[in-house]
Amino acid sequence: MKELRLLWWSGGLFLCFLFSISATVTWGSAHIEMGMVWKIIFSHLWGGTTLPAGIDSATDAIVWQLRFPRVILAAVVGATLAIAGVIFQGLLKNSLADPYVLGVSSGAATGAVLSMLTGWGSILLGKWTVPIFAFGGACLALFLVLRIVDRHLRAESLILSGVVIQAFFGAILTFAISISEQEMQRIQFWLMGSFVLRDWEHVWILLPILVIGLVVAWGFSRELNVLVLGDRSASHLGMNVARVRLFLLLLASFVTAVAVSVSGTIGFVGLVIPHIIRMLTGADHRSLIPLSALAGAILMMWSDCLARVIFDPRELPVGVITAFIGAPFFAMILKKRQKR
Amino acid sequence: MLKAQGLAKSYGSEQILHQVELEVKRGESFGILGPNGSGKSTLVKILIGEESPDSGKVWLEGKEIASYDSKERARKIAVLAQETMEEIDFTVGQVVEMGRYPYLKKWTGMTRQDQEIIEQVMELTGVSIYRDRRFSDLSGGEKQRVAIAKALAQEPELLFLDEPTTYLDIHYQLLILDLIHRYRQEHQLTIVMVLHDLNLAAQYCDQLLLLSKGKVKAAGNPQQIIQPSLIDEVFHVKPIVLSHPKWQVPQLLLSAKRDSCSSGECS
Repeated sequence: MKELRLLWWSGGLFLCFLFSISATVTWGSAHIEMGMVWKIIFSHLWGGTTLPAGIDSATDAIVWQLRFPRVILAAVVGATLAIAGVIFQGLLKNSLADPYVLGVSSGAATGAVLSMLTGWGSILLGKWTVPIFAFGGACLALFLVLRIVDRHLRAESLILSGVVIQAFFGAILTFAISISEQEMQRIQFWLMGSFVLRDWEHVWILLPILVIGLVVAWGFSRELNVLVLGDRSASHLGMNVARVRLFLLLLASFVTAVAVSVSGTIGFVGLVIPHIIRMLTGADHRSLIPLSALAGAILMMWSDCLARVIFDPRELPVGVITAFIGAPFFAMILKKRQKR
Repeated sequence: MLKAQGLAKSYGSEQILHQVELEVKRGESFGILGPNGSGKSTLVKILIGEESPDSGKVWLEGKEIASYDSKERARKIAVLAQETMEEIDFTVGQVVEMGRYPYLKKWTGMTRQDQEIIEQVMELTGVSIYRDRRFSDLSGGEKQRVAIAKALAQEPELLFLDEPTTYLDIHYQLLILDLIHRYRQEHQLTIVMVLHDLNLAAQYCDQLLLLSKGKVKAAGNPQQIIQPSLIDEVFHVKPIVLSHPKWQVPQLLLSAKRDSCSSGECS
């Protein structure tokens, strides 16, 4: 019964995922039909150098070099943030935690901007410079939040700590923007997140991180489940709680940092998605992790699509869309908790 | 089975335990008694290896507890603590399943043997009928039965009960303790329990240890421990001790100080 339900939702989400890819590649200033989209994608994946009949090189370029990589990147970022959200919520036993609310995203963005402005370490680290600086920022933010929060990790205390850290790193970011006028545009997009001018290169940075993050997090799904019982119960069951928690916090911060370094701070995906999936298929992390990744990808693809088409030809930062969806959702959960 | 010598522990400047020693034999039911703040919970934490003592040692089956790998330890010792107050979004079946955690390897699922053990302990504790219910929707007594099922799914040789019946009504107190008692006789399980209720302790334990201000005040069988003078010294109450008509174990009868109250000198 429960397995059947899980199977239904997995299948449904996967179909929805495929449909979302084709639909969001189709939409845009130039309308390209769904059939043609898939023809172009398949021809690049399995075909040779020649284009299929009836497709001109301009259309091919729009699909393969502009929209498809962007849609895939959105999906990968969405999946990554959703997994980070699942881990944070599980570890902190707090359904209001997510990388954005905790200030981890802001920390990562600050690290990323710092590395862009100063250029430190870029010779040594190459294309990984920005992600690694972002990871440093994310860890610092998380460390500070966990220092401020009370010992019991109560929801309200955690949120307030996150707000403070977010305000602090936000101020650093705004400061950086103010003193460097020529970089303003580039930095500004970190504040609300965007997929403008992102291409395959960024996909190849984040995709391996997502795969590793997904596999490792799934490998720890049993630990995440047991931790729900509480720290003492987990240690009575033979888990090294401190070590597991530290490792998973670092993992979640790392995947968040890499996601932020390619797309900026996009809020609430990691909050909304695990909630919805938990309501649909239960709290077991073995299904929660992969299904959240899938749903996060879908939500982000559509958010980015909306960001592109609503005021076409102008674009909105995608973080605006996710905040419009996420903030009321956040308020709703908070209200529901108070009723209990 | 379990042996401790010279245990001492302090938090800051406050000394919680002084020179505690005890020995629990296989198959025994061992009770730890003492007033609030006498160091019972700290002693339990040290005995199960959750905390390490400042000095002294604990041996489990002749091997020092600190040298056990944490999963290896969890295959020998299970702990049933006070009823959990946390909101848990899992079904009863999923919670019981977690008892198999110390036996499972990463990347592998449960074997048929794991499944069978889960079925057995759920039958035994009578929670099979709740299998698909949400854990947090159960009543306190039902939750505690699920917690027992989870602890027994660990197939422990030694079961620690840390005030397992504190929030339960008398029906469930007896039900829980009887359940564990029966299982113990069938499976040669060794039990160490911390109980507040001295009468229940006298009925369910073979050996008792009386803690007072972090020291062992007395140790022995219920007849030796449940004595008016000892109880008065440690708990500061003057009880009447009777013999249980059915089990011939000592039982306490508390008496209110009504005579002094009625003459208006209560305060």
